Amino acid sequence: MEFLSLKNLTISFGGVVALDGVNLDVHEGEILSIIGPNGAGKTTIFNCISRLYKPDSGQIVFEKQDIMKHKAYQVSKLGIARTFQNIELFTNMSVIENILLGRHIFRKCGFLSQIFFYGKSRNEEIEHRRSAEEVIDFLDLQAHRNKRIGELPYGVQKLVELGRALTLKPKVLLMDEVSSGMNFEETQDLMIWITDIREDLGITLVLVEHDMRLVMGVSDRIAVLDYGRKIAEGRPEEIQSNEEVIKAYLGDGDGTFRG
Amino acid sequence: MDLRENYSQDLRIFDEFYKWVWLASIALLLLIYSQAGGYYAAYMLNLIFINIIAAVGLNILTGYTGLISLGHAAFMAIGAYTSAILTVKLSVPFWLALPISGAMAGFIGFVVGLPSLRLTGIYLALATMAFGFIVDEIIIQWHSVTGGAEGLSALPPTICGFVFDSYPKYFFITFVTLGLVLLSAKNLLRGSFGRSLAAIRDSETAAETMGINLGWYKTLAFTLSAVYTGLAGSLYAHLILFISTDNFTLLHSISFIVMIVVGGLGSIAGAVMGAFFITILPEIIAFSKDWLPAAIRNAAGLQAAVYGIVLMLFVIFRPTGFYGLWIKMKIWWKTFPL
Repeated sequence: MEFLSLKNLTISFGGVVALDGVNLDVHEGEILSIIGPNGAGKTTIFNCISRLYKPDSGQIVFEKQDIMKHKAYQVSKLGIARTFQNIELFTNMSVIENILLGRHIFRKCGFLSQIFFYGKSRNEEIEHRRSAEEVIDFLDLQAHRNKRIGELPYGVQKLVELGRALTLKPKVLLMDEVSSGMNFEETQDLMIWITDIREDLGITLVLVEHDMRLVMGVSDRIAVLDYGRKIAEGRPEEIQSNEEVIKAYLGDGDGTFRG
Repeated sequence: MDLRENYSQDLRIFDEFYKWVWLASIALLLLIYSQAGGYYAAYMLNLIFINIIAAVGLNILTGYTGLISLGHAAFMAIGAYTSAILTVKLSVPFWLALPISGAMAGFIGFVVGLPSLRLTGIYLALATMAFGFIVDEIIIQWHSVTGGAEGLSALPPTICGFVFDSYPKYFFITFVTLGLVLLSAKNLLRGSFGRSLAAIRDSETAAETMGINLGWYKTLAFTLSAVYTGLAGSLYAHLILFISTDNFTLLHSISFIVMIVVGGLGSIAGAVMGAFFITILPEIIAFSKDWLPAAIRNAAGLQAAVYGIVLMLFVIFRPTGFYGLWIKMKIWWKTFPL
């Protein structure tokens, strides 16, 4: 059955074609990595899925629903969560508050009942906290719980963002370069968490990554983008020996370097 | 202590019980002072409380949601005129006119809030400032209803046959209203609603991917902010008993902004501290005039200049306001010998 699929996705900014007819199927329960040189259009795919960009043509279908018919704020409710390449946290708020924002889509009490903050709306808030605390436990963030985001090192901020996305209890999680800015040990932990997220929480993962060790270690499948086109797709060992991919990353052998 | 045993402890208005005792003591002292401190003290207390209500309203919009408004005096004017017209011309009882003025300002705030979905920063400031001028002009031109440039009289409120016809008596009304305003604002802001507003302030992109409908929440923030400010306007009209557009100028709008910046953006306590300080600032200026050189003492626009200097000093040296200073002092005391 189709889970998440991009059909003929095309978008251009001015004269630059960022995505050029990209077809990509994400299977339920897999870990799919999207790799490619800088400017290949990896993050653009995420921004299209989360409706921050409007593609010129093409379709995005998630569980038989046309995502194009939803607004950006409705995407998370469909079951799609994401993290950002350049951390988009709420910097003046604490870790727990950031994670609590992930509970926004689960609130049932309206604006007016919150004025009294009693009974049902209070219990709901307590339920939010309990749920947020589970995520904090899962990612070992207890030590940073009440710290403001601004005080935290980059690697921890990345984790908080991951935690906030997990609080949405998504079916698919788009992770945009989570490992960047993490040291060796943090990346090791991240690999374990990524597999835990899939095994224990049953969340399908789509990664955009530059750390090849991480990509080759955890991915079930890999898609390679270059200049907005998908040039390869397959299992890690297939990708490693793919001529096109080697060319995209290392140049085409006649001395011209394309970085 | 920072130790928590259950989640509801995280949700308390005050983390420790003794703070309730403090609050009650301060409230009691203020009540006694308003009754025994003479007419002028009671007037000032009323004015401080009214300004606190307006500052709390503006802080929801500016401090929490990150949207600036240079037109809040206009919402106050709408509240004041609605209340005065209802009570004087239509004989609506005060206890009904007060919430209606809040609702009226809220409705206008909702309408004004809609374009704000597309404007941010300086453009929103200009749009709200223009809104202030428009309201001013409407009040002046709509002579048959508003009394035009001559102004409008209001009556001392009567509730259940009791006439609140002096400043000390009137203080009971502002006191209770402020209590309700603070409680409702605190309740809204400590839960998911307040978090959503702050999320919009910090990152619109992230807020949207968390499922927050930006347009709806910004409009709600505008509406709520206008409701509180409208209530303040109504209370103000029945305090000074005669209102004209001179009471709701651009300088008033700016003074509300000074209040929340000086007090501390994004906290209720900050709004309270800032409104208190800025309301008594003219008194401080008047008090210190004797020590100032004659050229400055008699200069026109001294008060506006002091507002400007205070605002600049706070923005440069203490952008977190009095509230930030208070938090810093508390931490310093806690860890004192170290």
